[in-house]
Amino acid sequence: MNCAATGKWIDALLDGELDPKNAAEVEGHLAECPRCKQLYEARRAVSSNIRRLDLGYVAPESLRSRIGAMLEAEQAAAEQVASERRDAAAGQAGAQMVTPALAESARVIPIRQAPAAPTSTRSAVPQPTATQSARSATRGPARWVMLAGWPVALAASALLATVLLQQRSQEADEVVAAHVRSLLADHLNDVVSTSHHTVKPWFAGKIDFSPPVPDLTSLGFELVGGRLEYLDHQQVAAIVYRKHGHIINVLASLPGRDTANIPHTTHVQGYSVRSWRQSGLNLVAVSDIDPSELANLEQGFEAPPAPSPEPASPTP
Amino acid sequence: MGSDVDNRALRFRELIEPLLNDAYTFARYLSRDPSAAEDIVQEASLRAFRHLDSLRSHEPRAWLLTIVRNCFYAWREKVVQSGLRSFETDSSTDEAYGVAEEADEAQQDLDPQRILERTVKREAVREMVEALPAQYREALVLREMNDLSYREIAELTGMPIGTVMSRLARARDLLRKMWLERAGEGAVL
Repeated sequence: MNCAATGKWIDALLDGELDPKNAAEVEGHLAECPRCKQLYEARRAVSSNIRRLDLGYVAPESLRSRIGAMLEAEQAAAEQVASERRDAAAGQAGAQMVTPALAESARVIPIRQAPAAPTSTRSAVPQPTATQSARSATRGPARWVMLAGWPVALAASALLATVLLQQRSQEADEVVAAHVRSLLADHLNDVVSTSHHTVKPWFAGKIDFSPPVPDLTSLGFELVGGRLEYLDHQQVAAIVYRKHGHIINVLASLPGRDTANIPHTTHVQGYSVRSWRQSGLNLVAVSDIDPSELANLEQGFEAPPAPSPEPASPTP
Repeated sequence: MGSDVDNRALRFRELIEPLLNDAYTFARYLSRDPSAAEDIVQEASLRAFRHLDSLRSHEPRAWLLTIVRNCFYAWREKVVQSGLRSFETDSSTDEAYGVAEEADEAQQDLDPQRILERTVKREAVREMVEALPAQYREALVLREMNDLSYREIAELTGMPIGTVMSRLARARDLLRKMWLERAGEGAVL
């Protein structure tokens, strides 16, 4: 590792943000280059002095009491709203019939939101104020009737959708994080090869599945190499391609609870993410390349442009 | 009933209140104005309380600081529109921050380590941090005082991690330079 490369990683090293392999390389250079070592020590001294001096502020008591008062006001206002809604719902129940469609749409709420029996953390949705009175009304025999009806049902399902989307994007987040890490820490490849005959066998014995490594040169995707990733307690094979200077990480994993939930296409922090199932594996491609290129890539994976559809067999 | 609101208030007290020092520190260094920082954190707390449900699996500190940052920008916008104050723009360059020239400068200080390790007064250094250009100051405060990871800082500021890293490097070098200058002027640090 030279001085320029080391300089880039000095702060990451002293902030403990480098993985052991790269940390060892940077430290190796520091050990033999007094210039870089000095810069490292200078920045580390700045950092440790700032921390030692404890330059943070303590929130003033006036602020804390303002926030406390605000909290109470919010609680009072919410109770006011809840009680008004309860009155209105009770009045409605006595006064009018509820159409089957209304009841149907409202039924979603207690089923999906029953706070007592979340089947998993994934289905434990937030508890919106809009449905508080609705939930409290689900105990009696007139539970469907007492629901506030459309507005609540719509709000609840919109909320549910948002929550599901958020959870999915968290999984996509992790994939993107893996992609960014691979670019950041210069840890793109464990095996560097433009030949799928080298990359595919390399995975054998390292993971308990054989990821597809198609030759996609005819589509403009140049194979760069592969590496192992460990993503949320799962071993993942990363197959790396390049097109027009963009790096594309294709992460292959056994169907698990995680990458399976990434939507077919999504965007995270400017990165395109595309996921699909193939030969019993979950595949996720992530890159800063145009999303349409990832669609091409997926097609290439599913129907390799080589004579043989089996990616492992020799191609001209 | 309102037990959900009560639950939310409970969660707020458990998750958010312990982070108020962090929030205030961040707001204070962003705005460089103690009373504005209070307003910003109060507004952020209100938003945090109302949207506490969306916290879910986010890390509370980074989540709250993101809200603080949004509130800071809203406040800044208002102040700028009122014409009372002007703010530096964050237009300065973010090109890869090299090491060569800084290494040369580090070389000139006979013993930067010794000078840096000297006992320094907190207020003097706080002033120096406040004097940093906004984007470097933000990265430094989030890292050194709020203790966020690179990834959290990148998400919060919408910057690539590489930029976070070079801003931190730049912030530390600038700070060191100021530190040494003060020491050179004979200021007791």
